Amino acid sequence: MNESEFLQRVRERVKGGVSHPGAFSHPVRTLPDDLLAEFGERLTAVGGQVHVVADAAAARVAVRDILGGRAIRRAVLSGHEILAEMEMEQLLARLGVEVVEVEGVGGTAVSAIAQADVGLTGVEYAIAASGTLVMAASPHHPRAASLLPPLHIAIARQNQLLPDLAALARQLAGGMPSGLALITGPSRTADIEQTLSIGVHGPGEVHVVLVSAA
Amino acid sequence: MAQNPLPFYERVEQALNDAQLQAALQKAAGKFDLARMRAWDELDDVVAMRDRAKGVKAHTLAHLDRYLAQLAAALRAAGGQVHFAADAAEVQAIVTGIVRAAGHDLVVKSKSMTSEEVGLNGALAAAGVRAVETDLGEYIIQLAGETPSHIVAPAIHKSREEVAALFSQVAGRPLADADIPTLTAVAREELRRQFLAAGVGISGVNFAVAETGTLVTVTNEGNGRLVTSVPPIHIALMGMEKAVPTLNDLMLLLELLPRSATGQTITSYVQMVTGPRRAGEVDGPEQLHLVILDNGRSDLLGTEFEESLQCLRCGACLNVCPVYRLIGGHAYGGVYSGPIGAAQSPLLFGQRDFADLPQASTLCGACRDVCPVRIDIPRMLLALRRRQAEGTAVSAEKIAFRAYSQITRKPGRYRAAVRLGGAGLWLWARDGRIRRGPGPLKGWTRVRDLRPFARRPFLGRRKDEG
Repeated sequence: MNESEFLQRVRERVKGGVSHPGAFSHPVRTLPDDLLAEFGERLTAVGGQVHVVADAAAARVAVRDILGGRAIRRAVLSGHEILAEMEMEQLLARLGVEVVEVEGVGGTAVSAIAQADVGLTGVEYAIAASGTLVMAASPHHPRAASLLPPLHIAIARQNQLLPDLAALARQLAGGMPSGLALITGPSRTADIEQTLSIGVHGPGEVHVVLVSAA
Repeated sequence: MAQNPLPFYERVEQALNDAQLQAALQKAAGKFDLARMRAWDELDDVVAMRDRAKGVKAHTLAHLDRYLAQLAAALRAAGGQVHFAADAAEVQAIVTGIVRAAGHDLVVKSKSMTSEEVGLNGALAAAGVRAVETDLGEYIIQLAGETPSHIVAPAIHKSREEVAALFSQVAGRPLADADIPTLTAVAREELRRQFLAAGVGISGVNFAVAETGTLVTVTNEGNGRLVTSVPPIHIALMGMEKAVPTLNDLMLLLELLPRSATGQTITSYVQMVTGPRRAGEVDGPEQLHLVILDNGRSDLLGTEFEESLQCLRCGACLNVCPVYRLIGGHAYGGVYSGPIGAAQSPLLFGQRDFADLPQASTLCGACRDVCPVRIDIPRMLLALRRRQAEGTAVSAEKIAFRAYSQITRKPGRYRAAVRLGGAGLWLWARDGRIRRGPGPLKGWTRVRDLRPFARRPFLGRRKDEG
């Protein structure tokens, strides 16, 4: 059936005349410090790990500690500026971790990212009410960096925290990216005997290093 | 398109005698429902949010032509391609056409009830395309050659041992003693290969935002992100009722769907796709296709059954239904089970194949109480029963009720009938119950016992006591 016939059929049947109930918002609440605490509580409750740090040096220590004691050979980095500001490439070089070069597009790029043991990214926003990371796809921010490696480390600033989903909707009013992912803790399933199992397709571990200084 | 060829009562019998299924259903239903209650309690005013969500859905359906046109225009502006399909055959033709035109023969799928509804995997197989389900539960039942038994937990009826046996074949090594994390890791490894090799990813759509052309999927495993990010072509399937007007409306419904489905504040992943990969991006699909499906839905618009299209497919009504909790999803015979399936299957897929489903309800109203958008399912089940009764010729039941009406109009007739009938019924009673009634009562007693009348009727007792 072509589009105009399809829509005509719908048009003939809809009853019309039902008004929209209006936009929704949550009750206003929370100071910046509350957002930080709420984000941490929420993400921890679903198996994510939150490291609140004061500055770049402390962020590097946190990342080093997360990577320490694991067999991490390769890392993939998103192009978020915060990673350069925190000197993450230099840290990885000191730790002897190779940074995967993402070349080409499509399958080539994805296969390269799939080789990484850890994905290190910034975020666009973080949502306090649910412990959620908001990641937008863009030329230097591949989707696969927070998806294919078994370990995802995100670095965020306190001023990127939003209270809730309604606040995110307001931020997105300027236009949607081709891909936007809301990530809340590790990949999980309970499909076998209703028993929780972590890391089925996405990362089994999600760490957020939250830089509290302005 | 009933998927189980047995008659309804025999499917029920099968389910009731399946001890493993019974144990799994009791565990799951109770657990999900408790989690839902706790998650709803987190919200400041869940009652107002549910009312508002229902209002958004009712508004959208009342103006669906407008929102579908807006959705299609917005998605095309973002570089996506939009297809409209009147029925299952059209979806099959559109999807197999896209896959074959691109020369691909491997498809990875994340969970899509719409694809189950239109029998897409069969059509792809017939076209020489292998479709691999990647949601762990769907993967398990695909390997077993079965259909989902719960909308949120499709393989709820499978034991670890059964999964281990299936995975042993796939992995080519014995996994009989593997624990659940090991089995999960086996699936990750096997399916990761498929993700990287597949030419096409097929997903469902939980919400489609008309103002931005954004397609939203809600998953926990991450397979939804992989399906929509890794293969060069992404095809999304949606029933036309999935449209929502704005991003703000989307967020309201996102506050309710995971809470109602699994008791989560939000699922591990919410993927929002607005068109294919843009210039300079290194991953994401080169082509994005959206297929919007009617398949009987437009016939419900503007009728007393339109409300059924407000469903978010959370499964909350399954978990509280005293009938679902005993018979499970397979007994309903179609893709959509539980109370909402009992209403929708006859409406969308034919009264003939699903005639018994509206009877599979106690009309207790628990489904309506827990529905995040307050769908009045019992009202629709009653309306379906009425429709069926009006459509039937004179039946034994109708004759019986006419006789009953004649008898109860006169006290003399009534007393005589109670005496006669009361004595008569005791002829079939054993231990005070009639387990197999005579003649037309057989149908009644097939699934329940009949109580004979009291030996001394209440009216008789009143007389004795003076």
